Amino acid sequence: MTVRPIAETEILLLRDELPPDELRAALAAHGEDAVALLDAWEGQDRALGRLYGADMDEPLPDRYRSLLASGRLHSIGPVATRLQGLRLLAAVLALLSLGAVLGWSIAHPSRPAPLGVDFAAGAIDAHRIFSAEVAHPVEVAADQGVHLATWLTNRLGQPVTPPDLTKQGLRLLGGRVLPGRDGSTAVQMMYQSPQGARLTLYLARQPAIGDTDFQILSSGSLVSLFWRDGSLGCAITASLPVAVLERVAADVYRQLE
Amino acid sequence: MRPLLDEIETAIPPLRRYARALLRDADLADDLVQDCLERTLDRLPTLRAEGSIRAWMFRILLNLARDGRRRRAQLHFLPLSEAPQLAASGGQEDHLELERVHAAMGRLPDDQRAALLLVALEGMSLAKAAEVLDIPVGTLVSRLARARAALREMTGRPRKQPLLREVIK
Repeated sequence: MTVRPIAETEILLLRDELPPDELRAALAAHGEDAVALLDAWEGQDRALGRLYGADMDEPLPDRYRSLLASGRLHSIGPVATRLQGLRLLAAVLALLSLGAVLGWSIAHPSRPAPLGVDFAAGAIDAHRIFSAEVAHPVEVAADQGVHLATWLTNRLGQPVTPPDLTKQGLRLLGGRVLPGRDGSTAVQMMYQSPQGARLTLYLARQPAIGDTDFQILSSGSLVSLFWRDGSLGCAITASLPVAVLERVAADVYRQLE
Repeated sequence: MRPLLDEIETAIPPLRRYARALLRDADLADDLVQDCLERTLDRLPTLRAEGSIRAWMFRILLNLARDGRRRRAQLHFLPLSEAPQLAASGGQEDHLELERVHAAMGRLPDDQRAALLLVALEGMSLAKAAEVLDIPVGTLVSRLARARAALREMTGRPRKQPLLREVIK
């Protein structure tokens, strides 16, 4: 009886399809070399499992945990609902979970993509670094008035006037230029409440154009409310109640128009 | 939303295991998984639902590993690594055998090691592994055949006589 040789690639394909015992029986018909090859492969798999088969219950490092926590991103119902006069899409999207938003964006691929978590994370990082500054919270102070606006406009490459948030009880301290996450230029404007709480407005130009829903990202006690307005990504960040941020966001949105 | 993030979290232990086997350095591997996690979360809002998140994350991880390798190659940096800590069971001979396999894995070309680990360690089907690697199943199969043959030769147990080998396009 002659045995038909079988190619290794063919055995690999069979191994993908057949349960182990059927595979072994099938290979037996092709001679002992085919079976020996299978034995060798199984030996390889066992060795790889013993070498690299790490403990799957090993706790995740804290840095992964905090990333996951910051990824728990929500669209915000109440805020967006109150702002619906301002935003065409807000009311529709606000009530949807991100999962539903994903489904929606699959069905409507032309809709501008929401800003990534990365954008808000950049705003939060910048807030954390500079709002803690006592001596130099800003690069150019608000009392330089026109100069501040001109400077920010030149650096951002887009007209921008720091919004006046005195109605919200926030006084403009000034602004600074900083690198955006993707190598672009970002600007940060800092405001302060009479109690000393600081709020930052972070702006960076975005490659895509379009308006999006408000999104919210929190990290520790900091909350960032962010959205895309035309070619600008905007984020306001503070360690303040969300209700306060809502009002500020509405004011900022109106003034940036 | 929650199920998506839960799915991401569940994928992390296998990604770490895979990254460690791929890079052969636990610290580099954990950094790679962190980059992968960041990129995954960052792209989540624009995710088009195709296939599983886990496969998507493996794909991101492999792309990042490839970029990282390019950077390291420019620096002429080759990580030397010790064999991972082995379970206490098994005798000395067994241990030597495993060390041979570990050394041989390190000498496999990167694309072969990446492919073999997806199937042999992660237990992925050919279709799933091909999706992760973004190559046709036929290409994957010939890559796996080369990897397994090379591994056998390097661990000192060449086949008695060559079997017919065939290249699938």
